[in-house]
Amino acid sequence: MTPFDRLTHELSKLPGIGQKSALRLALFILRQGPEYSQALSDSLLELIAKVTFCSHCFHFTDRDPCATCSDPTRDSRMICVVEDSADLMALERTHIYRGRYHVLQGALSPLDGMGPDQIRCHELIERIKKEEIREIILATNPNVTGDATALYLSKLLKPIVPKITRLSSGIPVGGQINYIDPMTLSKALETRREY
Amino acid sequence: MYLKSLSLKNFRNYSRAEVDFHPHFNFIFGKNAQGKTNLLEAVYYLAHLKSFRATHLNQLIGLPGAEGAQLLGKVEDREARHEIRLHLQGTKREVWLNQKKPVLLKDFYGLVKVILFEPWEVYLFRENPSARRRFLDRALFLDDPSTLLLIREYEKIVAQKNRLLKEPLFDEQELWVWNEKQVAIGARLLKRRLEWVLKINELLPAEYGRISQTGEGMKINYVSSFLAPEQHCLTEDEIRICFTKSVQEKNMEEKRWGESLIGPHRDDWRVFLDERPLSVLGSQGENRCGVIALKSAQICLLQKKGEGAPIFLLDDVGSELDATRSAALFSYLKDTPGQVFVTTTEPSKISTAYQNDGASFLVEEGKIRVL
Ligand SMILES: [Zn+2]
Repeated sequence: MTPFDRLTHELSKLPGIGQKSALRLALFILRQGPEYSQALSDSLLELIAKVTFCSHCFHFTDRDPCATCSDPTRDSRMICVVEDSADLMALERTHIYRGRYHVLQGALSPLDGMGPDQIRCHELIERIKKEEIREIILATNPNVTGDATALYLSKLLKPIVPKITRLSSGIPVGGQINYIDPMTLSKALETRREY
Repeated sequence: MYLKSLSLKNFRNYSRAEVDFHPHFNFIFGKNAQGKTNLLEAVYYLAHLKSFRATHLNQLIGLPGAEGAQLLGKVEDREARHEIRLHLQGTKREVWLNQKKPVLLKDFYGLVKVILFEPWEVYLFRENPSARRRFLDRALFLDDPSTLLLIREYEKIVAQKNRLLKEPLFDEQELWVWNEKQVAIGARLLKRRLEWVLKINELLPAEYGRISQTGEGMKINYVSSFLAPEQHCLTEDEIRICFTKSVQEKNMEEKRWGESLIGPHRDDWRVFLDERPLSVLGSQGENRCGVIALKSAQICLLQKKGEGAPIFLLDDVGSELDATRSAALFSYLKDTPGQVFVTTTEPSKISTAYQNDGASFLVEEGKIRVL
């Protein structure tokens, strides 16, 4: 395998990148010259060396616990449950929510081999038992797998959490949280309903 | 509403084609395997963004590696004109409606309404249940495009549940979740189907009479996998309660078989002439009239709602109909206002009287020309 083929091969493993795009990206990198390649590979290595997952919320972080988990001004009795870190960052952009998070790392989907053990819900339950949680906001995506996950969690958490809510209106059915604009997302947070 | 023109680029065996259509009859002549059905497929695709025979998008693309396939349809709807442009490449499909990317469910589906009649459908009543379910779901989409969301969601839920049931070991709570979802969405889908059957049954006897020239009453009986016939009038909530109970009762069996055994995906429907089941006791001719009546009743249903007549695509239907029934069908179509596309290998089968009320085309090796 030539060095060029090796790069295209690695790039084509990225989500949403097909053979053609991988080829285009590789050509682009090649044209940028050695400085850019150095910076790119350094940043990748640094990412792997320094960034881990927060042991509380499973968001990625360069220190444990992460910035949100260790922020004393945030309400520690409220947890917003999201499917992945991209959703967490989308919610943070609204600047409305001042509680903590739990990142499931996916949604229940037998077809993708995602069961309760894969989505870190036992960690969530342990955390709820240890900390005194007043409200859980279920912010999984409003599609088949996200809804199933919310239903599963609500059944599991009802006996141990006083209040469970779910993001409401404004989110298009079948949509994805990290593609929704901050305005719509703020509205959905404000109008969340008991679940 | 009718399709004014269509242009194709690298679609199936058409490298390049541009054609203007007649608002009423469009006869497409040509030998087998020249591209007649491909043309109907293109029209169907403009309405559904899905083919009636290709399972993969890349089957629609002519030469691989090129710039993909392009379809451009111009639609006239009373005063309004619309331009639909589609680009298919690899596994991706891009849609533009009047130069803008539409929200499919809100702006696109339902704009072009199409009813397809394929030759094999004359055997619909004797086919396996999955063909009849597909017919029903297409009919629901035509009646109300938003049903598509419901159908897809239900299919996804059943696929997830079936996968879970095949796992050697799983959490009971997880099965409970998929059962809950299946029951909620399934009850809604079932209610839509039952309502459609009720509506179509009001129109079927008259349509069948018109086509067969007999006085027998045609009707559809829906066969649910868990509701008794007398429960078909229940509300969605009541259906959900029955469905939940039945799923609980089937729990052990579903686990043993590793798949979901009841629900709309296991239902069926049958056609009766008075009290005689058409599939078993009906003649060949009666079966054919029955299918035509079913199609024409769908057109009536749309007209009753104040929507224009849909585009009617008849693919080589003459091959399965005898002269009398073919004549009855065409005299019916003549009085129906919608646009009609007819493909056939035998121009002699189409009376010149109809040909004068429309346009005729010849398709040869992926090229189309006006006759
Ligand atoms: Zn954290």
